[in-house]
Amino acid sequence: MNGSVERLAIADRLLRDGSTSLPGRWPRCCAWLLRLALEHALADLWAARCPEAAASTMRAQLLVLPRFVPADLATRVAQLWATLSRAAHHHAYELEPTAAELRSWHHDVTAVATELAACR
Amino acid sequence: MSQGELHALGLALFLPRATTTESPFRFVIIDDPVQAMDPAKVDGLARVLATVAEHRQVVVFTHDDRLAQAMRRLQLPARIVEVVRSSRIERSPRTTDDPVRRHLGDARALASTPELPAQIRSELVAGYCRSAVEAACHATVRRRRLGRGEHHEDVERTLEQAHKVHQLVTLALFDDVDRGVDTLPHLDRRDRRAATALPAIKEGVHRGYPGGLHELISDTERLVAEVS
Repeated sequence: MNGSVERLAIADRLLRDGSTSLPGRWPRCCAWLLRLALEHALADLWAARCPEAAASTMRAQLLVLPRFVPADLATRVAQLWATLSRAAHHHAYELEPTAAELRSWHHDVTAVATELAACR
Repeated sequence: MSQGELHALGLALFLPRATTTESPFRFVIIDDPVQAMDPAKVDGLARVLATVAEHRQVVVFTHDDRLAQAMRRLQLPARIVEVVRSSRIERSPRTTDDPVRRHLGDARALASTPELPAQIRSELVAGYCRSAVEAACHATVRRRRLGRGEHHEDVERTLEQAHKVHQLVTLALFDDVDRGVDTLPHLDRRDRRAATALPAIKEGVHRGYPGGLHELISDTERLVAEVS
């Protein structure tokens, strides 16, 4: 099982039973796992297509991504990354992500990771 | 009038009526009073509610942490309970006094969760450590800048722009986000373990942490002490 799939599987488990296994903590953990799953999916793409890109900043990786994958996929990855990054940092004025938001991000990361894998 | 001003006016009418001596109720329940209020009004509301709470029980529901944050910053007595919504009907309330301590407590709890694979556990623990440091830096920067009379909006903009943990720590230590190169040498002179925590959590949230998680959390506590 690769890094992306493994993290998506644990995030999925937390969405189902997090309130018993990690009470109060699962939403934030789930957001981090989704972001990590996206990072792993990108890292796998770089390993296959352009190993030197893996060492650069995430911003740089997202900027060069359209040269390796279809433009609309690159845009979705960048948007998803920005959304998950925001959810993963501490913000005083915001709620933790809801189960519905997390479920929809889980769906998006799963789709994007599958498409990135097809571009390897 | 703006939405926030209407809310303020509504509360100015409601609170005296609800707290007259003739009222049989010894409590008030307020739903989401801070939405659309500007930050300075939130501070004012926190003070008003604390005054009401001297003789009444005051229960406030909100999705906006600004009121809780104002309560902490102004050191007003309040018990803050966080409700986490799950996909099912159940709700899990948690008493959340201070976000720094809550994040560190969560990190400790997670470090002792054997169900998660070790690598993933260390990534999540690093995440909580980073959140603790971020929350500590936010509190320091707000306290310092609001204390010398800066506007709430300016302070929030400064915090919003310093979105990386290294920038936040720099801002908390030197009040100047451009002194990033001085941050690690400064920490290293003050407390070597606090200095090692910063790169460890920056790296750890992406690639996990190979060392002992409880040591990482203790080092993070020392970093929190340096930036507080």
